[in-house]
Amino acid sequence: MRVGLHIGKFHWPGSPDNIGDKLAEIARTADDMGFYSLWVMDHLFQLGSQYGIIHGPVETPMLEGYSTISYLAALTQRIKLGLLVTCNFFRHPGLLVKVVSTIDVLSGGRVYLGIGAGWFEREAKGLGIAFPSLQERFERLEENLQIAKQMWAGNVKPFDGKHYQLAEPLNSPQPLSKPHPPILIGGGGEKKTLRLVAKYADACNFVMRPTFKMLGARASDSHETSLDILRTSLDTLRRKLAILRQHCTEVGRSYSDIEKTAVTYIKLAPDAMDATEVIGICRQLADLGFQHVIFNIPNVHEIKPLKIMGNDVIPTVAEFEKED
Amino acid sequence: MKIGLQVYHFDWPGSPQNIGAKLVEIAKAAENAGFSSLWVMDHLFQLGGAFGPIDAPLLEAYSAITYMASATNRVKVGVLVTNNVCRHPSVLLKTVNSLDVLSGGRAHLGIGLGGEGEREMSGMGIPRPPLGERIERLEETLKIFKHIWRRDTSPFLGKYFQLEHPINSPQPLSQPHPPILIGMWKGGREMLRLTAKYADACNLQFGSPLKEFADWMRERYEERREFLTSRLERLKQNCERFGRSYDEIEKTVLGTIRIGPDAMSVDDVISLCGELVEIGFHHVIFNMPNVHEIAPIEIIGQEVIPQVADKT
Repeated sequence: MRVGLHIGKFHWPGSPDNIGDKLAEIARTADDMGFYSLWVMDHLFQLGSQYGIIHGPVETPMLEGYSTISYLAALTQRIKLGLLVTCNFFRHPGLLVKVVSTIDVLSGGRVYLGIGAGWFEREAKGLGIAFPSLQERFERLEENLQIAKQMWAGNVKPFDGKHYQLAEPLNSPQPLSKPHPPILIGGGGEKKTLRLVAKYADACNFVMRPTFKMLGARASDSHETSLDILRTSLDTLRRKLAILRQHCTEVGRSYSDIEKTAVTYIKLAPDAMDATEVIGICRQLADLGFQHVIFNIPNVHEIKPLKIMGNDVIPTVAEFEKED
Repeated sequence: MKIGLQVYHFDWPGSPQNIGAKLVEIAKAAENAGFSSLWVMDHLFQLGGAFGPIDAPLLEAYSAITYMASATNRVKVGVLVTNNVCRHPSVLLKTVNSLDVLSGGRAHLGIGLGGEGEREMSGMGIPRPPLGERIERLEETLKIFKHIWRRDTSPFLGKYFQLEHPINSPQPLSQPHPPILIGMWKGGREMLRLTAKYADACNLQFGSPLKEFADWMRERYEERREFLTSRLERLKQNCERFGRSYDEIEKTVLGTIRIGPDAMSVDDVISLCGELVEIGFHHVIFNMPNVHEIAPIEIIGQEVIPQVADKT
């Protein structure tokens, strides 16, 4: 099983002055410690109160995603880089393909195109970016995927879509990743998102709802126990994979070709999770069929959690595969 | 006088496999040689002619310059110049702002109308409005940047963009904000007006004396003294009109040179710099077809920069 790192905030002691240096330290350590991948979000505002304890208020620091991974590309050697996930409607599709291709070339072929339909209305309206209906966001996402596939196939014939028309979709240099950077579609929407995964993606990504313990948080007043939450989130993930398998059958896609990734939160600290417990989460995800788990580690800036992962978790879970 | 370096092509032996490593080498060499600034163009297709065929490798600008910023410590970084209609102004702002924070406060916002972009823009399906509207949109982008960089989170209500709650966090490390540089080829009335009103720096172009470049580049070089002098004069008039201090605007100038037996000597380059200082420029940005050979960067660092550094 592959282990990735998701950096979901830039708010730590010394921020914003030390953001560049601290990110460099995090990325280099993750690279040295054997993390397979490193991800940042594609947001212009931090996520706000509904995700409060992990991400923070909307006014806290947030960097543009592609700038961040481009910066990290020059500082790392092996680790894959991507956005979890690109908001489809922030950039023109042709420009997005140029951006992803550029960072793939600069990094020596280490980029994923992680993408989704986009959802954060407050951020879009706050910054004057058109926020289309859900239906249209999915139509636009599908066209964007078609454009990426076409440009990466080297086909410069006009693309004449409902939302986008590209007279000459030329992409040079082409990515170094062959045949192209893996396309990861984020989200578990059962009708639309998973259909698009089956049709276009090389990887899927689901959020695993974390337990209070994983977050290092005190249980709320709710009667739900950590065990209940864990059981429900694993059931949800199992169901998503089953539905993805069904979509694959319907569109004639091989289910096993798709890399199954999951993202969740773990705080590695004496009051939260230890390495053995993280290995346990990995085991359960591997048993469901996930090959790649991406951890958002809220105290990542302390660096020590990365070392614990590298020394005590990553080598053990490397051999995890689904036991059929 | 400061000397900057613009990298305008990526088509060299070993490309595209070695583009990442070579750009790090160029960026570090330029910083070590004493260049003050490092720039890339903002194009989606290469420009044709001596710049290289339209399908030659060309990197997306902000990804490339942020990567180069990561490999350096002191040199200023920017895009010369951003095509204003290529990105949403808020996404562009977050991008420039991120470059500034990640580089420790070394970013410029270089911006312009997107002059030569017709084929690349329709090629990539990005709307390119007529000139009048592009000027209006550029002015609106500049207003949005000023609004957000003065830490004003009240709504911005423009003709093209309405921002309900323009939060920007983190704010730039450059104080009060990354310098705004407006770049232009023709230096028309409206562009010089926008420069006087909004910019911290103004970039004009001296073309190129190189025989391999197109007539329009060489014609500009021939008439550079007259052209550049008249444009700075017009800028000064605009500054008076808006009550802006002309001296507080940094005057930069871009052009293409090559040092070699069949092109320019070191003395030619030094005397060109002297002439540009005399016309009123503080910062000359060179691009060079053979930049990937590294030696041209080192020669300028050893033989030109020390000679011109004190000229004002």
